[in-house]
Amino acid sequence: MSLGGVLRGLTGAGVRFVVIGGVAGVAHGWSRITNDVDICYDPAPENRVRLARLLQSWHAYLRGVEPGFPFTMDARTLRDVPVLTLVTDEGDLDVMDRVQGVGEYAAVEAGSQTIVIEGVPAPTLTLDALIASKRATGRRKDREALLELEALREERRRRGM
Amino acid sequence: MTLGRFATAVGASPRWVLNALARLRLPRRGYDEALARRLALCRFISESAQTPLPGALRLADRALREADPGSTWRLEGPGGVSLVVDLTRFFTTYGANLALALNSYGEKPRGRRPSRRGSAIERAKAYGVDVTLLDSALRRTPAERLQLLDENMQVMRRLRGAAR
Repeated sequence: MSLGGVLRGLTGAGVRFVVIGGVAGVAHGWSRITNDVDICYDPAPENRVRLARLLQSWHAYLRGVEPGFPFTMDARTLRDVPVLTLVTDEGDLDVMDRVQGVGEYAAVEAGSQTIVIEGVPAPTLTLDALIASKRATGRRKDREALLELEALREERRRRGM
Repeated sequence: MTLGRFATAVGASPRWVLNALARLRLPRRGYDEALARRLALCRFISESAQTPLPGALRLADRALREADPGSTWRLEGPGGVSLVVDLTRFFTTYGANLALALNSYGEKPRGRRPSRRGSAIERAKAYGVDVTLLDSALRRTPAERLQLLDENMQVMRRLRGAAR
């Protein structure tokens, strides 16, 4: 169970994805602890099948939902449900096929940069795109996150990073 | 549950939920998981069988009472008309929406937005953000930051496991 394990699994299974959310923020310098890994995946049919098979092998189940609830983890579920919040053998994982404020997978991929995470080169959402997504979500809990990320961006610019 | 969270679990907009509750003469309070399940299945049947909501709710209640949730429910009607509901698929989608409502739903803040005056760092400080953490984070490489995050995630998992 590790961040590297999740990313190695996704990469090894040939899944096209971009790391988003808190992990992407930490990669850029956000001082926040997050429990889960968030990814945006390419919803092309063959990629959905690869991701669904991997999630099945990790015994993915709905996070926070009572055990024993009828749940089928397959490519059709990924097609029918744009956002899944899951608990897996590798840890908590949220998967989605688009990012609010950024767009569908092609736009998310265009707004990413490759960062090596635990030895795995992983496309990761840029800080600008992350800020756009937090701004678009507009939840109360994102307000503080947005202030932190904007301060981080300013400090990075000041340092020429 | 709040109306917004409840509507997320149902897989509908808050407006649809309020209209449906009025149409079905159900109280606009007591938003709980059992009602979300009924309403979600009612919507699913209504849309797939082109049935008005009151009839769809009666069928939904019957399916929830009689059928195995992991099966396909078949109801033979008069004149050879039959209704087939793939309950496994329904529960998969409903469960995903319920998990989303429980984990990710957040209320939108009310009132005025925070001021955009001053620098981003000044705004963060004024809000109470500890900006000194930026310095220690930016001194590390991305790999070091993520290594630290991974260690923290492991500790949190162990703590959660110990608390169960």
